[in-house]
Amino acid sequence: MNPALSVPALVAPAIHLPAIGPVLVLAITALVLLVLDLLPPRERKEHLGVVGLAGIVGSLVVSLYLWGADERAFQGMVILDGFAIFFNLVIGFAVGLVLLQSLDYARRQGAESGEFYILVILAAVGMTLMAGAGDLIIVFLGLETMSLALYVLAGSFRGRIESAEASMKYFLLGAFASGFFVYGLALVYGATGSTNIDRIGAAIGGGAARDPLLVVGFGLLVVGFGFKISTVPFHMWVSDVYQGAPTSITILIATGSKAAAFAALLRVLLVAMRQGQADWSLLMWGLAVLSMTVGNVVAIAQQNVKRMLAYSSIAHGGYILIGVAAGGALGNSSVLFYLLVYTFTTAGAFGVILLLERGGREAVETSDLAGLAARHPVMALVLTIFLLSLVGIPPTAGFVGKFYLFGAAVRSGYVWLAVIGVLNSALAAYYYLRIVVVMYMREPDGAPTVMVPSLGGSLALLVALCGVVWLGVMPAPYFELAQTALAPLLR
Amino acid sequence: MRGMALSLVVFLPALGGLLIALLPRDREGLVKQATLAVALVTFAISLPLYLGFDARVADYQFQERRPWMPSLGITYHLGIDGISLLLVLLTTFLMPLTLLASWHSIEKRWKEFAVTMLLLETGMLGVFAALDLFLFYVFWEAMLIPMYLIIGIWGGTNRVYAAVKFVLYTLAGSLLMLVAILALFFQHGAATGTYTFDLPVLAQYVLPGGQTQNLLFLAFALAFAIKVPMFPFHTWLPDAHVEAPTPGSVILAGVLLKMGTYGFLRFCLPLFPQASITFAPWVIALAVIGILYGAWVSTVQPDIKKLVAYSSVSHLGFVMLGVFALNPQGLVGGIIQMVNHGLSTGALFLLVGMIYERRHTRLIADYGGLWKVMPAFSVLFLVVTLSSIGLPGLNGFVGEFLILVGAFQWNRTVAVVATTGIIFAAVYMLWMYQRVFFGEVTREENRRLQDLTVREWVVLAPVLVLIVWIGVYPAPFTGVTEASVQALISQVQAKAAATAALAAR
Amino acid sequence: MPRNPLHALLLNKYYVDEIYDALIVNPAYRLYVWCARVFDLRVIDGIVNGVGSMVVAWARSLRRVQTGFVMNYALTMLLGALAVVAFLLARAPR
Repeated sequence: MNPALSVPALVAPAIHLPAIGPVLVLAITALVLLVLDLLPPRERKEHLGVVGLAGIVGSLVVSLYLWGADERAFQGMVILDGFAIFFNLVIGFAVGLVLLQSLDYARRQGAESGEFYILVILAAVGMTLMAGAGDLIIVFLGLETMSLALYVLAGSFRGRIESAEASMKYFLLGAFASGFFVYGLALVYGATGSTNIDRIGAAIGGGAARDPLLVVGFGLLVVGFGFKISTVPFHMWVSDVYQGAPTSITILIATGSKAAAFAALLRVLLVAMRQGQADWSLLMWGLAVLSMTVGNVVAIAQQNVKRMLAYSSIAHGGYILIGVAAGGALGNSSVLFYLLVYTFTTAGAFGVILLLERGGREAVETSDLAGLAARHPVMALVLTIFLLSLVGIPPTAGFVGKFYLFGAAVRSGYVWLAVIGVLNSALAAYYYLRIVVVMYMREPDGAPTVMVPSLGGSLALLVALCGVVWLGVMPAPYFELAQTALAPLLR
Repeated sequence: MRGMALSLVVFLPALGGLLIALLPRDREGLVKQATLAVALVTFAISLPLYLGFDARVADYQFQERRPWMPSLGITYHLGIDGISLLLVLLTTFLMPLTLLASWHSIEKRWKEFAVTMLLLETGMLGVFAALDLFLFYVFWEAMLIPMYLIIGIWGGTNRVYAAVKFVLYTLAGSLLMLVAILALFFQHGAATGTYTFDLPVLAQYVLPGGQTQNLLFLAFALAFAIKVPMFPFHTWLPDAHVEAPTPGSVILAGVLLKMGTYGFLRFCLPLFPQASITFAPWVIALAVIGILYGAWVSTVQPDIKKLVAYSSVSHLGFVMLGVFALNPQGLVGGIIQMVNHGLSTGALFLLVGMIYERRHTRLIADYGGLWKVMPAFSVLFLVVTLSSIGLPGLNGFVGEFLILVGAFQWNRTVAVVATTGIIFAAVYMLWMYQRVFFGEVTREENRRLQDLTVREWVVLAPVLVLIVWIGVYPAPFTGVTEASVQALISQVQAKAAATAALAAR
Repeated sequence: MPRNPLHALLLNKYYVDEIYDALIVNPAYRLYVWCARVFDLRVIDGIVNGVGSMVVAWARSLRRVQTGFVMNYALTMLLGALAVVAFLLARAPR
């Protein structure tokens, strides 16, 4: 044997599979769906949705199995810790509920196609990556994966112009925001020499904190995140996109992408930008007040339920920012808890709208809900419960979530912030209760609004309802879960 | 079972309501009977609370403590003392009567109405029995939505405006109270190391006087002042009463308004004694203005329900006067007057509801000379009118007398001014009574009105009995309050002194 | 018919009722009406309803900011970005 010809042993790079386990499951599901899409049957694609759901469940199972892990992989680019797993749960619930609702809804509205389900799963991949990102590049990767999928999904109602408009606006403004994000990323890299979140934090601790390059870069990162969490003044896309997109996709955008964005934002704030907390805390204070107030005030003027819920979503982003501004274990835990609560509540509220039709088209105007209580008392009651959770009336989960958020604000000394938050809640009660009024106290004129029977949709509503009620009555274990999830970030 | 007596009383209505929700809607008779049964059973199991109550003990009785969210310092803590016992009984007593009164007056969706009323009852009972601030807040807020639905669905022409006004007004106040609860929680935790929402524990804590205590007091006070309702936060009440259906008005006036005054007694006084004493002159000033203003505005009302609504502002002004006089007579008088107002005004709304069912109008001008047509009704109405005025021998006098004695000890001028309120009450009530019942029968429609039916007698009789009983022999009612009242006063005075000592150091 | 002024005085019970009416009852009634119709309805409820109308008016005008034109949205975002960066720079001492 000629030694010169011996081939050196192949050294494979260490691929730490558990760290990307959940992502891997979802990615494989997407690939499976791509293949399944090619096979018959051609007209009905619901089985893709079911397989997608199985993928989500699988991803959840893997996440739970890995509970307690705290690992970094791929040179610290991907993190799997309690924080990531918590968000995997939230995202899993969000996507799962969306899939359940889409099974029937998409076909009914003519938006069904193989790509629909594939893109939903791919969006989930992006979201999960964002939650488990250890490096700003991975955050960007996840952000773009998720966003591109969502841009296309927003336009799924191919025959309708609002859907195309929603998709276009989302894409244009989203690309604009991503531009800010990448620019900020580049500046931060220039200032600290790394894109890794941990290392950025270390570099700043070492003294780069006041570098204007860093400050500007961080500001631009906030802009990029701000777009996704729909904070004022980066919120203008929300109402048009939420209104035009298929309702189940609206849910996905409102819950999943928001949760993923908050996950990545919290990592950046708490780990990379820990030193600057005094400054960004105040910034978050301002953004919170703006979002809450603008969101709630403009919602009052809305006649379209989806648009109204869109502005309410902006307002809820504001409430969550209160927790970010408050900071500390209590503040950030309340953010995580509220995102879970918010997922159930939003999926539920939009989920009811999704199941209603009037004269063959979707029932999305407030007037379409008139007299619903007489025809479909159960639906009206369910929607009322979700609306009460959005207002924050006990014993719903929405109340407990706000209780934690305002408590955190008071604890950190931001009493005025809590007062503003509380007054905003009272303000919001007006437009939420207006729907209750219309449902119970007005008579419909014209064609009656009917509920479409849908197994998936009803199941999703049931899950959401249980979540809202259970988290409202026994929230403590889940709040402690959130606290445990945060522990690695606060070290 | 004894350890759960209070929980059972509080939650039985809601549980019953959930079961009734499952009944088929077209079996209306069954629904009505079942609902009445639930309310009667609740009343029946609340009686042992009275019979088993030890009047010599000032502390909370029938206490139940179970951990609920220990990591947050929240416990499921129920308990009643001399102050809340009578209010709990008032609630369980009025509910079956109210439901009986709605037998025919609620014309549509009786089942939903029943469920809503029962949920409301649980909310109200929970407010009176809760000893944990978080639990109290949950019940306080939870009670808003059933009342909103009752006004908004089964109410009159302008019901949506009235219901929304009611909710937003009350919500604004109570949400500010939430911030205060949180602030108190953290303040106490930082000072003592124990983070808890438990009222008895928090009441032990001597909060330093000054701006913090004042602001916390004001936040709580605003929420309660809106509920009482105190001038000038009272304008939601006339609309709510006019538009609400009869049973809604009865419960609103009979029980819901008491939650405001109760809140002052249970929370403001023990938690913020120094601030209570500091602000007492202001509160009393507003109370006296309320007494007079309420009476004056009542006098010129053309609608009987609106007249009674403003009279509530006046009557509860007396209660607030008694409470903030901060002496035994004032407090006992205030508590008794809370019960009295519940009975008298509740009865007034029941009576108004009865003639409304017959004539579908509440305007005084549409009546006249009813004494000749409905003698029994007129007599009962007269008794309730006299009770409302405070005629000695009936319940109103007991409360008002004690309150004025207490007020007199606080400040003579104020007491004299307040006493004129009794005269003004006589003005509006008697003038209204004269125009409705005396004189000639001015309208043809009134000639054929039917006198009280058996069901209506059953509804009114128990209230009348209590009106007379409390007026003639109040001891069984005032007796249970005295120990708790004394304890409260001592606690307030001791804490106020401790706060002053803390400041002096 | 009264035969002379003294008779008139006695016949009308010294006009006590009329004096009461003029001095006490009518002024009091006017006070009550003022309280009820002017103060309660217009002042207090005016404030209450006024707050409500103000918010709704505010809502309607704020709603018009949402023009529907993407360029306007993008401009708002740009201005917001500038504000955020300016704020952070201002807070960072040399």
